[in-house]
Amino acid sequence: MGNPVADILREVRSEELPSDADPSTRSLRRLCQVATRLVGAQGVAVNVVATDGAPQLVAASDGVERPLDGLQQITGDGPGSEAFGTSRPVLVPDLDELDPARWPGYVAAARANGIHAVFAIPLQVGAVRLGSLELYRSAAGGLSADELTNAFSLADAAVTLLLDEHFPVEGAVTGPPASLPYRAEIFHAQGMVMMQLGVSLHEAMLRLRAHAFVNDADLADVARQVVNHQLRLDRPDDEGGSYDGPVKREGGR
Amino acid sequence: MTTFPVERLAGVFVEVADTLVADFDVVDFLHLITARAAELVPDSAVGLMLADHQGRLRFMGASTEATRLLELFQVQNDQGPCLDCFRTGVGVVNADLHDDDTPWPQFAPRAVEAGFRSVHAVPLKLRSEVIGALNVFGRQPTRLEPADAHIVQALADVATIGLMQERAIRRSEVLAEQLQTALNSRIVVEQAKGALAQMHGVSVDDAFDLLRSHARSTGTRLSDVARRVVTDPDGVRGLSRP
Repeated sequence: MGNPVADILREVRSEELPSDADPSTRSLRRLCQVATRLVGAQGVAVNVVATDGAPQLVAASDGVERPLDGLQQITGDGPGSEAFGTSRPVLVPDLDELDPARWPGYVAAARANGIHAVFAIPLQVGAVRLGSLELYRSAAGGLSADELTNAFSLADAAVTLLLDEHFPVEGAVTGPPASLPYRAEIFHAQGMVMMQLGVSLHEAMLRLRAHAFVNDADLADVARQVVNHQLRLDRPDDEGGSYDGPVKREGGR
Repeated sequence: MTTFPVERLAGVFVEVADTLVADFDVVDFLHLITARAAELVPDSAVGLMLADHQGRLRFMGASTEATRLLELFQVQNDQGPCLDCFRTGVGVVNADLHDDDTPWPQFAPRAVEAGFRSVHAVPLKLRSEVIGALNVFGRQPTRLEPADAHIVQALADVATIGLMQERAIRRSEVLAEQLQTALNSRIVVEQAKGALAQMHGVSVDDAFDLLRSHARSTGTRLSDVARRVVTDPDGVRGLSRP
């Protein structure tokens, strides 16, 4: 069996974009373009949570009407926000069958934009919630089993890109890993580092990844050392820099 | 005829059914299934794995959270009875881990090293689709009778029903949605185990018991307690050692 997430990331890297694309979100925008083909959607968007906690549109494929997402940010409701808030996929194969009270403003705006089905997948690693991936279709109808599998793989790929590029770690120069490692000790270490440093779980996750990148070590090995008390990450202050937000990476590929 | 004590057996199925109330916690529920299966099969440890959208088996719960057991589940993405069972949809019963001709030359020695002699795996199946497997590790060379194997399969079936029950199932896509959500809930639990282990100076295995007893005593879902531990640790400082 192949690795669908690695395949998607490879395809994302070879996707061509107009030269005016914003460099900081180029990969995510490519992912959205790739996604339109993989799930048969007319529009795809990635929303990422900002520091104030509200997901905001950061990248979209051609064909996504920005006013719609603008509306979602204002009203705070819609499938993307709900997927983000509940940590569950929100699958709406037919907007016409939806209880009109669920997202009153959103549904009207979506219809006005010719959208009849919408699917939102949370972008998350356990309790670390990064945003949501939204897929729009101009015709009503559910995702096939393959399309839904692709949607989940696309979400995994988006999380990988977000961690590597949107919230990059200093000194990281390698390409994105093939897929997110799912090993219990990595998650244990995230919780432990969070308490050791008194930081958020999100930051603990970034710091573990940073340590692995900088030391050219395997993330699972770093995590095991933390869990076995053989390694304790330094406090942000000890490194002479704060860690209170996404770090701009320069010259990375 | 099953060798499991019949009164106990009835009690287990009543308890499991009783858990399937509105708003139950899927991580806690699957843990219960593994714990009860381990009680029925003498001197055993039991674990449950679910497949993600990439067809990778991921750990969802075990009768004991001992790290060595978790490692055995991890190995099985390359080879092992769980993987075979997941791929074929057919149960593996009474596999001897000391067998020189073991089909799992990497997995078997590690299981022996962890103190196990025999292994069984039964599929979690929804209609024709295999969504995971339940794995029983025996510390004794005793064999599982065919009737006992059926009961272990019945527990696996109840696990599948529970997974489908958490939210009303109307469309096939809900199955994938449900699995995805359950797997992420398990990650939250692992993250909370790490945070609690650090907070209280206990092992991550003991941290799971802390989480569960806190969920029980406060009538809160295990996953909700876990999420609070990692999003608002100050709010659960009172979560005390058992």
